[in-house]
Amino acid sequence: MVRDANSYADQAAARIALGSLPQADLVRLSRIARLRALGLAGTDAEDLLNEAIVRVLDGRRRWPLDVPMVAFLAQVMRSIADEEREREGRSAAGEWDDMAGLADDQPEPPRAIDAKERLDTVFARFAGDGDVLALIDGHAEDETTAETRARTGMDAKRYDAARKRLKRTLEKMMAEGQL
Amino acid sequence: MRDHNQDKTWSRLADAYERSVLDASDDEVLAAPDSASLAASARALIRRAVQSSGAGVPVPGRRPPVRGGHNIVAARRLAQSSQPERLRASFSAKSVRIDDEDDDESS
Repeated sequence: MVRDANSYADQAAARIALGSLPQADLVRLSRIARLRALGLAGTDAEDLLNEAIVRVLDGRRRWPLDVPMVAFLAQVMRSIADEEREREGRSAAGEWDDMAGLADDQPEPPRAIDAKERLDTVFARFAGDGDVLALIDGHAEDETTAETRARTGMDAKRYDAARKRLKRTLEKMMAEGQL
Repeated sequence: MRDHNQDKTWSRLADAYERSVLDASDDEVLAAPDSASLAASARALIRRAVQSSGAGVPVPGRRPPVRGGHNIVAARRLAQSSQPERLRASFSAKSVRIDDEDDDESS
């Protein structure tokens, strides 16, 4: 989507919008910050949300007026987390190479282990819950809801129940520092 | 479970979780037992960031100086408009383009 300069809020408008966010959106932002901070060594959820807000307030990130503020901040946090992960990955890979030396069978770089461990924890938590595992499988394959339901034979109610179990359990695991 | 690239699998699961948070109804979001503390901490963080930016805390009803002429009331209304159908309509990880420091459209 191409936007011109008039499609963006100025900093004053963004400041007002930030101060006017409803309670539910504040909760959404905190949850998304927790998610995006997973696996970052030196940045926690509050740091990430704070950095996103600062970049909006100082004009480094401009708020497109046709995007809800909460969705925009979610995108900014993801982008900052990706930058940070890349930076940490580069730095860790350098140390990893130093440790691995010239060995032919070099171990996996740190970031892959991180994602693998998190997935293993999630799969272990849902062992025995075939519907949620099928849902995760669908997400991994980038399926639509309809495609996952057609593949698994889940009706709308069963699919929604599985989706809520997955969401609530992930939230609990993040809150308890298990991911 | 099919064999997936684990980074990609995690990334898609994270994106799906994020969409479910954005799409959830306000009632569902606020029903979680930790919602009050999460909201309070986000509100405090925003307040601190706004204060640190030197702009001061927004005062309801008081119109701050506006550069560029964007409508503050519309901005506030847009910020508060978080109905799931609006989010679904306007938010897509694949379509939203976020500008960064290198973007010179504003100049």
